[in-house]
Amino acid sequence: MKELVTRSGGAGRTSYVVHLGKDERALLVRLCEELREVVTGPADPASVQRLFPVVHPDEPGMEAEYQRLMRDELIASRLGAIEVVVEVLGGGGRRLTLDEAQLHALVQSVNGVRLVLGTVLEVSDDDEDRPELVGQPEYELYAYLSWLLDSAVRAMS
Amino acid sequence: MLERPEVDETPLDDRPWVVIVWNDPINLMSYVTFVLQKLFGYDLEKATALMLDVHEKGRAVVASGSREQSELHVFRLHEHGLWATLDHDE
Repeated sequence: MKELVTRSGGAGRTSYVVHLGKDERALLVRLCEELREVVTGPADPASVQRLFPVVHPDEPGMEAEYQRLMRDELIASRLGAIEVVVEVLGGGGRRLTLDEAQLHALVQSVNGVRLVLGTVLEVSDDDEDRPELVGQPEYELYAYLSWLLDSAVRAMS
Repeated sequence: MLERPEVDETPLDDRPWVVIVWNDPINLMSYVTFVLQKLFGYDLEKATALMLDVHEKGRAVVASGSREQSELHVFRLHEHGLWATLDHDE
C-alpha cells in the first residue's frame, strides 16, 4: 500500500513528507476545525467521552478533583495540536514537509477525529461481521484516517 | 513470645498506583505501540508485548508510581487518545 507519510533528511535533520493533495489537505483542515468545536463543546455526548476518559472510575471524589485540575489542560493540549495542523495544512506549497512536532500534532488530531467517528459508528473488533459499514461515507473516512495514521506512525518509528 | 500475624501495614492511600491501558476497538495496534514507546521510553519488544496484552487480555498495567506521577502518565496517554485509568496496586 502506498505510504502517505515518508521520512526525509539525515540524522539530526529528520523531516517528514506528507503526500496529500489539495483536496485531502482541505478535508483534514475541515475535520480539525470540527474537532475543535467538539472539544470545546458540551461534555456530555457519548461521542466526546472517548476524548476525555474517566481516570478514577471507582473514586468519584478523586475523579472530580482530577477533572477540575486537568480537564482544561487536556482541552488546551488538543486545541494546541489542532492549531498546528490547521496552520501547517492550510498553508504551504505543493510539497508538504513537516518536522517531528508538527507530524506529532497531526497524529494526535487525526486520532482525535477517529475517536469521535469510531464512537459514532460503533466500530468494534468484529467489523468483518458488519458489511453494512462498507461504503458509508463516515466509515470510508474513518478507514482513510486509519491509513494516514498508520503511515505516519511507520514513518516515525 | 506471641507470633505476630503477617499483615500489610501500608496505609491504604500510600499504596502505589498503577496506570492501566484498556483495549478499545478504535486505536490502532501500531499506534498504541508507538505511544507506549514514546511516552515511557520502552523498546519495541516491551511496547509490543504490552500492546498485545491490552489487545488480547483487555488491559495492561503500563506504569506505576505515586498518584501524582501516575496522573501525569494518564494525562499524557489521554492526550494521545488512549483509554487509560488509575487504580491502586493490589
